[in-house]
Amino acid sequence: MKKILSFIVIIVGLLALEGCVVPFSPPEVSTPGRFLVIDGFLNTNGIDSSSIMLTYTQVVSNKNTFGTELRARVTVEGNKGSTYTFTEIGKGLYRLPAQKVNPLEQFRIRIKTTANKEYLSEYVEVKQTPPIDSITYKIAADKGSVQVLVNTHDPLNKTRYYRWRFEETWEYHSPLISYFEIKNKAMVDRTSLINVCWQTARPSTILLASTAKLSQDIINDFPVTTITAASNKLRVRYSILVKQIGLTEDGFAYWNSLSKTTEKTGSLFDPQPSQVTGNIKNTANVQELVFGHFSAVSPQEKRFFVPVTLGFSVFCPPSDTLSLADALKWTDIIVSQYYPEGARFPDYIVGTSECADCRTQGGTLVRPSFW
Amino acid sequence: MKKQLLIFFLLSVFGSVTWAQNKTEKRISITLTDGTFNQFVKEAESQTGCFFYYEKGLIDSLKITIQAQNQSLTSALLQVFKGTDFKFSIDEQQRVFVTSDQAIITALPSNLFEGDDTPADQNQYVAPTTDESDKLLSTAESKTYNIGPQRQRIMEGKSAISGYVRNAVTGEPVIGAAVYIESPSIGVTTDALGFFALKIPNGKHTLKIKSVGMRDTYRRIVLYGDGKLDIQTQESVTALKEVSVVAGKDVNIAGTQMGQLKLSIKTMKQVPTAFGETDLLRAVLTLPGVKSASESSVGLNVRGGSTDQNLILLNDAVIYNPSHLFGFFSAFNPDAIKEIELYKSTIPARYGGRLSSVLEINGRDGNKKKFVGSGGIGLLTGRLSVEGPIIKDKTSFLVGGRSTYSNWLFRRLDNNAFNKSTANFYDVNLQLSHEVNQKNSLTLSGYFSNDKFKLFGDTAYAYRNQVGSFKWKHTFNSKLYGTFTGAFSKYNYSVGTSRVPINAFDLTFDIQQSNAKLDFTYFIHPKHTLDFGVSSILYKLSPGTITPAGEKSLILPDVLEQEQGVESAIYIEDRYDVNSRLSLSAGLRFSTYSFLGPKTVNNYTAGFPIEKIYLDGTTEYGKGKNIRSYQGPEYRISGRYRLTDNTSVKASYNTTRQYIHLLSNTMVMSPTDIWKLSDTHIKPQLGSQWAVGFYRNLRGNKLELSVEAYYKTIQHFLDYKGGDSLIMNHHIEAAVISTTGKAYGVELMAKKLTGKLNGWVSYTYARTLLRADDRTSPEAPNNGDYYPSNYDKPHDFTLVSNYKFSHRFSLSFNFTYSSGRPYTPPIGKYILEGVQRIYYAERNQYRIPDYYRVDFSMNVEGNHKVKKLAHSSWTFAVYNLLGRKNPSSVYFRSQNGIIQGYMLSIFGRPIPTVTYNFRF
Repeated sequence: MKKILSFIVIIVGLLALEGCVVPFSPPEVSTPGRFLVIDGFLNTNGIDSSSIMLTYTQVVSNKNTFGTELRARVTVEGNKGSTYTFTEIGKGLYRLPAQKVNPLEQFRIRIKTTANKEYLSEYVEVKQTPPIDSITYKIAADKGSVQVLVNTHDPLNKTRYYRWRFEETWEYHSPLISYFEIKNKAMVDRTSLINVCWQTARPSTILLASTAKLSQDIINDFPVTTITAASNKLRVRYSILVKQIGLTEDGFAYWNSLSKTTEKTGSLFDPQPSQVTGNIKNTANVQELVFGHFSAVSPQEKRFFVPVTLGFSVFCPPSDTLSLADALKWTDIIVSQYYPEGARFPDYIVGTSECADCRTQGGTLVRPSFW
Repeated sequence: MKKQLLIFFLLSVFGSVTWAQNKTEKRISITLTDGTFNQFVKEAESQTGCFFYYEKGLIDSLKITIQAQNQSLTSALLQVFKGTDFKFSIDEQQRVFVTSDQAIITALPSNLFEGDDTPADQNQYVAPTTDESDKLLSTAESKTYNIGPQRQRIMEGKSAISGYVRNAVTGEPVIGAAVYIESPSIGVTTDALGFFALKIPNGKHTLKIKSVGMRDTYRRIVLYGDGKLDIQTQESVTALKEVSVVAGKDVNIAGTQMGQLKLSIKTMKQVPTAFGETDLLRAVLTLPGVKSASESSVGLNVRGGSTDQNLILLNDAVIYNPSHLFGFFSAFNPDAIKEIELYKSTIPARYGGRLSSVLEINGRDGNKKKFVGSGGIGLLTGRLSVEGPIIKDKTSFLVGGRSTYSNWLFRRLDNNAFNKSTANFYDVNLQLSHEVNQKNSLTLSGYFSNDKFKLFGDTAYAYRNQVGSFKWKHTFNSKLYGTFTGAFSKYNYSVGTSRVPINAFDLTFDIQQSNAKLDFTYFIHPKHTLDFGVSSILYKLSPGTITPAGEKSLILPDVLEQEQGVESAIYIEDRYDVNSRLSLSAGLRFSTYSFLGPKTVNNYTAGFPIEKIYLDGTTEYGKGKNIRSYQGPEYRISGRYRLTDNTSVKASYNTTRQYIHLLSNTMVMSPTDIWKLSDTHIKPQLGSQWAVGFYRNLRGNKLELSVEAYYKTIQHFLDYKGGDSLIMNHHIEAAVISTTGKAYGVELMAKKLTGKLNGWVSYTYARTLLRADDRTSPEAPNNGDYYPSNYDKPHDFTLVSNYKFSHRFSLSFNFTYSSGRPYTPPIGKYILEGVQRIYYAERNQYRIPDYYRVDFSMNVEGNHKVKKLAHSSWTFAVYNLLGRKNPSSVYFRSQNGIIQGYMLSIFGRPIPTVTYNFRF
């Protein structure tokens, strides 16, 4: 009966409510301009340096790297007379050493390119960020996932607008451990093992929250990310670094629009995409598109190790057992020795690199300093 | 008896005396004083050898005084019948026929066999056609009705005749029936209560009545003076599945109206839909000039107007959200609806308040004679309605209900996501009609709809329409009648979430309007008909209230201040038939609007755009204080010139004003869109439309061809600025931009109304473009130049066809093609914080792929035995027969730094449905 009903629903098209989504490549869009992108902020905590990256936009279908702006003059000027000049590091990156700035001063960025175009942002206030109070976690009832949540508050009720970025690092092990390797056509013991890796990811999701409509400036259990058991990130150990950035109301509107336009459009009731640029304009031509939002802020961060292990063991049998001569010619990874009954020389058990070399999954063998 | 039978062959042509044509006429000498006709006949028969036929009883009382010396029989008879209603004729065999009122025609027309097509002499004999002889059996048609105080002689001049046209079986009024005489050509259509009134020359007429789905009928009348005639008509048996788009077969030629389309419920039932249930709005979408932004939406875009520019009236009460379940179903129960009428070009002056169109939905009156019920069972919805008399022939009721059982289905699905979803809706219709007496009738109707859904277990949505209306129609005399209407409409929605306890909230929105109006129709002169009236609407709007849900919630309660406004109008419209070829209609409506306190109004620095950064304090207004007024005239002018009997040209000019706006930042109409009254910062929308049309009917009005072209302007239409939220926004005027729109197009249509194969085919070319009013604003899309609106689909082709194999079996086949909707594509990408982001082109410069769809349905009626428990019918339909994955939107997402385009299609596969309908 259940089957019949499901079938009815399918034919009625209830599942069609979910829609049918197929990939779509838009026709080549002609003559896009090449527009400046300003990525970075003035770090006002007095400890860390500030950096600004200058790049250019390109066509959606273009697979080349993004163009950079070299030899530009990048300065930040305050409305109370201070001026800071960035120095070029190369590849479009400009840096300013840590500065103690006047928290009551407002700042703007001025960029003069080699093509003699000048770009200027609006003045922005210095935004303080309260520290993260705590990072907590919640295990789903079916043990299928773990949600990481952040809590913070501003006793002064001044921050109100928040953005978070996070970086996740997890340790994982390959199912087979390789104790031998071939060096100069000889079987030798491995000096450093290749079965323990660490991988780091920086998801691009824009995480925003506002307490503007709350009576107190408290963020309670804001979900940063959900780690599924199926991803196997939680199998050994998982750590998350959450960076908290206070925003101005204008900055919040910018990131909110950017999030809506590039992450949330498309379903029937989502807003239409709109052009999101930022608070920087070409001084000679305000119509020119310029991307990026300049801010003066002191971000806060906190690291948290999720004390949960979840996941599945991967079934990964050795691929073969070979004699030394064969093993030396073979491309698979040598796992261990094996002495068949009565044999004088060991045979070698081999495994595929996917099973025996954790680096093939994208991680690195270098233990992070915080681990 | 033989003599009486002869009378039945009388035909309704004017007649006086038939002169006997034989040359050797008999002569007579006779003297009588106060003699009887019998005495005269005895004498005449003996002298002339003629034989008299007459009815003794009729002529008994006639006293004859005559002195004749060798006079011809004819002149003697003339003398005898002088001053009486008696007529006579003498045929070639010397037989004299004496009749009352009408002389017997004794000879065939002299030119009968010569093929001469000069108009036949009035007194010549015309054999009844088989069609007419059929109808002679109907006593009402064979009877002659005397209207007005009877006199011996018919007075010169004209008199008014009025009455109701009703269904003889159910007693419900027949709306939009054409009531007319052919010579001279004068006619009207019945109104929403089946009432008609027209002024025609005194004398004998055949009053013809034609209507959708009803048998054509006529009444023979003798008009002496002003009077009444109620007409009962039979439902057309053959019209069970007839497509009839316009009432009166030549209304499209003869009327001055342009862009007016009428669909009966029977026609709508033929249009296959995705969920098998008859859907009013989707049937309207098959008409030329009506589009929708998305396949799943019933938001109508009429001739380039936006979805909020349609006045949707259910029995004269405004419906704010005409859809269920995000727009997948239209909100009207097909069993409770009689028909719909759409005005997209010439809008009668009695309507106002919306820019683009009027969609009038007429509910069905209950059966005045007996209790009946009807209903249907579809795969997702079920419906039932019951109707019957409360006082036989005077008062009737109709109650209809409809609901979905999708909740029940959701719970039985294995899919986890669906298990947590709920979707529920229902609607109830009630209609009471009471005929107090010949001069007064009352109608009371109510409508309630409720939607509740929770998708994937998170946010819960609910919305409801509550609507009621009261109508009192009073006939002052046969020249003047009036209608008083009072109506109330309320629409509200709520959104709630409780997933995160500290952020749990309930958000509500509410709009209500109360309106009263008086409409009069006055037949001032046979060539002039005057419509005039007044109306007033009081709006009350709660733009949003957010309240914390639960004790843990930290959500700060927030209430957007209530808005109120009054819209009033006065109108007058004259229909003037200059001559049989030229007819004009001119209307003037003057509307005023006041935005009223109490209210705190945001001020913005003068000379700067309305932006939050230019906010400059607020001003408080007290209760009832007039904050801002707008007023202006609206012109409704149209004319028709008839080139030939079956060809005409028409032109019209219309202007409209709208004081209420729908703010939306989504592609399709969404239940959470916000209505907003015009205020200090938001001006009323203004529209104007020029239209011309050419109409030609072929094959005796069976095939209608039409071409209409229009040019339209829209001012102060609000478009979304982008980025800002529309919900709970205290500075909503800063989140929208005012735009100017223009729309133009050509609509071609061919309709075949009768026959086994019927339907229509139409092609439309139309454009709709918008431009920001403040073209230099940095927020202006497309740098302040024109950009296509979301529903700009230039080409549109529709074929709706139905083939009747028999009375019980018919097939429908529909085909739709349209250009793709515009979208805004990404044109570039850049890196920000190590992540690729995309940026978009100017608004709506690209189009999604073209849309086409084929639907098919099969209707099987149960047998037509009179005595059985229930009459039933089955509808089997396949929606999107070809299974084409028509894209309804295109979007782009950056996921893990990669930009990917996607195309979403909603009904991307053939959807077969079965519906069972019954009547008992």
